[in-house]
Amino acid sequence: MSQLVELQEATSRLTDAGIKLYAISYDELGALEDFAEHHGITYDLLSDAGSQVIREFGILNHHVTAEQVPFHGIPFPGTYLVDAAGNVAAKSFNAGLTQRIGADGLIDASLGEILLRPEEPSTGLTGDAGIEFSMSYHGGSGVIRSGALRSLVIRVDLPDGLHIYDEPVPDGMIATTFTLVSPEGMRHRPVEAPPTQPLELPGVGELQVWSGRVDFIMPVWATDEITSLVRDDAPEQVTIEVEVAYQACDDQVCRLPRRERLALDVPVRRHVGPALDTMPGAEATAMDTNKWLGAMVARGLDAADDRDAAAAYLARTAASIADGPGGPEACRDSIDT
Amino acid sequence: MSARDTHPDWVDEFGQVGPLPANDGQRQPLDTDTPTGPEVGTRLPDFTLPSSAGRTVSFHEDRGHSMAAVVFFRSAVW
Repeated sequence: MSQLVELQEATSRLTDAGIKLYAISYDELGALEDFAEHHGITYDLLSDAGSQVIREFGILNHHVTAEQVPFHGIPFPGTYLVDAAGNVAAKSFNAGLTQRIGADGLIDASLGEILLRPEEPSTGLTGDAGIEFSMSYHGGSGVIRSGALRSLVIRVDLPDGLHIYDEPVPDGMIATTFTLVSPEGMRHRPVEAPPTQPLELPGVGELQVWSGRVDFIMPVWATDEITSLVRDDAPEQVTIEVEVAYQACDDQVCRLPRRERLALDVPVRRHVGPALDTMPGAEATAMDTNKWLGAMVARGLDAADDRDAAAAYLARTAASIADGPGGPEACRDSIDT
Repeated sequence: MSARDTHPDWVDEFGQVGPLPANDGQRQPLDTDTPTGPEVGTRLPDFTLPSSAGRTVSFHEDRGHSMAAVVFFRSAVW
């Protein structure tokens, strides 16, 4: 839901980038109309009730068995960027099913570069030998939401003649590394770096270096320790701290290894979620969630090969959501104490 | 109080807690061999579906010569 709302907030930027937006789910058409009305969605929410298109694309979530009503029929969530000729230019399917690409990721993919925006939180400092470091929190209008995949863009501007190293380096030298120091509850994927240039050092061999302006990208997301669907104790903001270790050299002299810390305050926003009392950490959608869940359940039961098994699954799931050990109830209890 | 005190069955490997156990079908992460549909460089299969905007969309006809993003999402209901 948050993904749909964030995409709506970015529709003018997507239009400016020449990207038409379509979103597909297995929801009833009425549910999508209801959601669009309550959240001001102006792009097309397309109803694939019965999941025929999802199956044709080969992305039906096969972990969800036929009797798992009403969940059967969902896709593995992902996004395709289609070029003007109609071909897939890029796609994003994430292992973590709550990690979603946003509008900025799409625009970046269409451009082939990162487009930082003025309202995105940013910080900078000057390091060794006049090297400029900056760090920006990119995507989703610069706010943290549960699970949404964003980019920390760490830009290093090296004065002429200086370079820094990629792995591997000989003993006594250090390669450029990035460590996410805080906050607890933020995680990242491996840092994406631009291509290096080879540098031949007599007696050492060929090393890999960066020079000039270098953008490193650390994909990050907030886990439930920061913002949660099932707890309502999210902070208003967190401080993201990244430590950069590096060693600058020119073709004559290597300077001593250095470490810099970049710190950035980033606001936290609540997730948009269904109006269920099991999700106190989400900002409840105003649409009638229960009505449409009921419709989904009825459709799922009708479609199930084994209606009794589906009904039994449904009963177990409802009990699990309401009373699960360490589920929402226990979360709330632990907060109260 | 932190979500680390939550029963581990509810926390997936990406640190997310949901209203159902993490091993429940719809919360299982993608395996490395999980299909992700049409490959980069191939034509996106066409589809025709009803829209919340009160019309029927035939994808390639509707986008014309524009770039497009097609987002498959879980649900607008849950």
